[in-house]
Amino acid sequence: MKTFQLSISPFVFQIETDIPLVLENAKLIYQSGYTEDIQESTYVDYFLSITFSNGLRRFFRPQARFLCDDREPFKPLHANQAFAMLEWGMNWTVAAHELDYAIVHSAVLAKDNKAILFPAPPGSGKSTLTAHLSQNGWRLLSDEMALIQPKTNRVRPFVRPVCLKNSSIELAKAWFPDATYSSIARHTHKGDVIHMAAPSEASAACDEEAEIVGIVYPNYKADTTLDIYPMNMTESFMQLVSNSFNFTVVGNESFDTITQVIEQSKHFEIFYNDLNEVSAFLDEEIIHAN
Amino acid sequence: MVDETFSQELELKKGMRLHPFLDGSGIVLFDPTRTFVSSLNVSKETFFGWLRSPDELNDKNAELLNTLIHQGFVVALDHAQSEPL
Amino acid sequence: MQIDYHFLVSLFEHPERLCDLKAHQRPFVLLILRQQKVLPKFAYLFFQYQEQASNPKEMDEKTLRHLRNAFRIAEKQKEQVAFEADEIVKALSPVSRFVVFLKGAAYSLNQSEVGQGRIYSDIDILVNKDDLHDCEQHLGMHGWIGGEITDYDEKYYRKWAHEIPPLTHVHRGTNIDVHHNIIPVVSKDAPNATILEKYIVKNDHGIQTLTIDAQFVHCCVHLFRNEDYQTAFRDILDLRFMLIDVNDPELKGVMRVAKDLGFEYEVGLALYFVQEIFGLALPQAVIDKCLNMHRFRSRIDLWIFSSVLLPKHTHLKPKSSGFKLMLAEFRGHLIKMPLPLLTYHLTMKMGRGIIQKVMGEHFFSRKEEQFDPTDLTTPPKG
Repeated sequence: MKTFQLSISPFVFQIETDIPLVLENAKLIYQSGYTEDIQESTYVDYFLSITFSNGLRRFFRPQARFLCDDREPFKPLHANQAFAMLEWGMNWTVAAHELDYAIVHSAVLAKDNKAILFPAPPGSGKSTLTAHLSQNGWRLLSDEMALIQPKTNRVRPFVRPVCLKNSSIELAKAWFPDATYSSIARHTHKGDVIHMAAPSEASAACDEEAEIVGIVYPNYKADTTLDIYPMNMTESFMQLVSNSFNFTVVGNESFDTITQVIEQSKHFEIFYNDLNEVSAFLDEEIIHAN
Repeated sequence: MVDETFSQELELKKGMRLHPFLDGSGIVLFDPTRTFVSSLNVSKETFFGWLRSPDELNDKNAELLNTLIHQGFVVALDHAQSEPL
Repeated sequence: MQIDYHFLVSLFEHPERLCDLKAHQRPFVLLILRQQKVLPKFAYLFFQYQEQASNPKEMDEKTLRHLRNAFRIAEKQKEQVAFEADEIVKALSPVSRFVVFLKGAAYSLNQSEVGQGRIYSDIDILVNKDDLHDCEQHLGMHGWIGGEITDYDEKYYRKWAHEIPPLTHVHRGTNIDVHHNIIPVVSKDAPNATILEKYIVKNDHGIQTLTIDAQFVHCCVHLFRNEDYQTAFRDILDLRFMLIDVNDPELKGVMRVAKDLGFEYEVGLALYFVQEIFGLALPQAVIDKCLNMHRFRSRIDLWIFSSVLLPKHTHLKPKSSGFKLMLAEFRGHLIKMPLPLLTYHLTMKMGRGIIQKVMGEHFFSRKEEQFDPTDLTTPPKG
């Protein structure tokens, strides 16, 4: 059993594992955020473990189980998916405990410290878009969760790898051959999954907050050029709330935060197949508008 | 389903929050206890107009109002307890 | 990093002592408290200290954030249980002579000291036994339905236990345990449920609970007639803070109820351990009198429970005794049921335990029990 720490500002996770795949990928993806040299003086926010589950099954169908303290939020998955499971487990841990921030299931990218949220369901091409923007002049704050400071429109980075699925895996590898990728977790609920490490500039700016100026709901469509639909605040509010992890627990304060974010942002639903067009549109209409 | 309540004035239930958006696109209602939200694409003024004279609504708006009653946002006006909003 | 359990327990009398640890040691305390389900309670006590001390000791921002997070969940639960209680009363008042909220829900609904920072996963209610069937039906009409449980569990609940299988609300996901007695009917000590009726009180919001003295007795009974002691520390902590609500150094009211219901021995044991663990001065004569009712049994019980009621965690020293824990849990089964039945219940449970050991722990887990890790979104209901 090995123990390592992941320092992913603003949190530190201490993780126990006996699965070599987890160690290798964590080291590769988090680089300087990863350490096996446990310093006594480090403040650990969450103690996690990801280990082979016991029993005979280990020999014919090895499984990994994830624990946060002694709680097990997920069913065990096949051991080849253990690193992806750790990523999802860290998401769960933050979403289930952190109530200081209003947390929205969304990618966050920024330019000139002006941030755009991309809340979107799986299949919308959100992660491919995130990967593309993060490699083309935009700063990645998060692929999965926007940590919004209460009663402000400021979002705090939580820089994690981008989770890519199925056909976008080959696409990303072709576009960004120099990026760092985890091993592929095959046949998950999402299909094949890979994690692409955040660019080093994004990690370096891991404590720089940005001001939310836009909320964009992306939809990938193979047969369309860029179609843009401005959205009104009421619609956008309802969508953002339905993507919020802790709205139901935080209640009033979260309501205040989200209404404030909505009123200080521009809102669009976009249909696209050309990522460069999207980038140009975001730049002109949201970041450099006015 | 409970159209008979429309024979009297209605009000927003105590403790419920209402936010009209800056762009005039509509309002959201929020129940802090159940953390339940609902939205309407009308202005705050129009909405309060509905509450004052619910019997004058067309079928579509009456149904919307009915939904809000079922969701527990809107109740019959209690004259003894009502306070200005 | 090992935390001394005396230190951990002392935090509930002196929350400021957490400040005396180095910042990087504090997460281990948080970890243990969270696992024992008492972190929000500690958070409440700590914030109270901060508010009241004229010159409070410094605490690091990360620990404060974790405490705020924990306390918020408890506050939210309190708000939610008030709403759920109204719904339950609405559903049941036409069919049950009484709807009494028990344990955690009662503590919260009465705004009592013991309810501050108290978290729980179920709402326990007590209804009139003759109305049980109607209650289940009415709860069903209001959206609370039974989850999937094995046939064996179903039979156990129906035939022998003091509750019907737990019900879950289809939309809100809240759980209710409906009881018709406060300990299982198969146990020969089960008090006649009608005796309980005279201890029912109604608060200003029309919510029924037991009197605080009866709640105290119920908590003692629950603690010493249990078969799961993993978080027994929380129960003993409840008793400790309930003493503030009881507010009688002589404990006359508590002892009256205990005698009436036939649970003086359990109350004596509980008082003994509350005194022992938290170093409080409780009336020794009262404790002695209760324990002397069963001289031999009390010696065994004091020995078994001496470590069982303490917080348990791999990061705590000294280690709690697994052997005593096992004895306590066996004892819990023993006093709940007559022996032949007990053997059957344990073999059924153990048979499943063995299969789980061989096949891996998840042989029995059903799909619905856990989340799909890829689907993290929890949209607000509606």
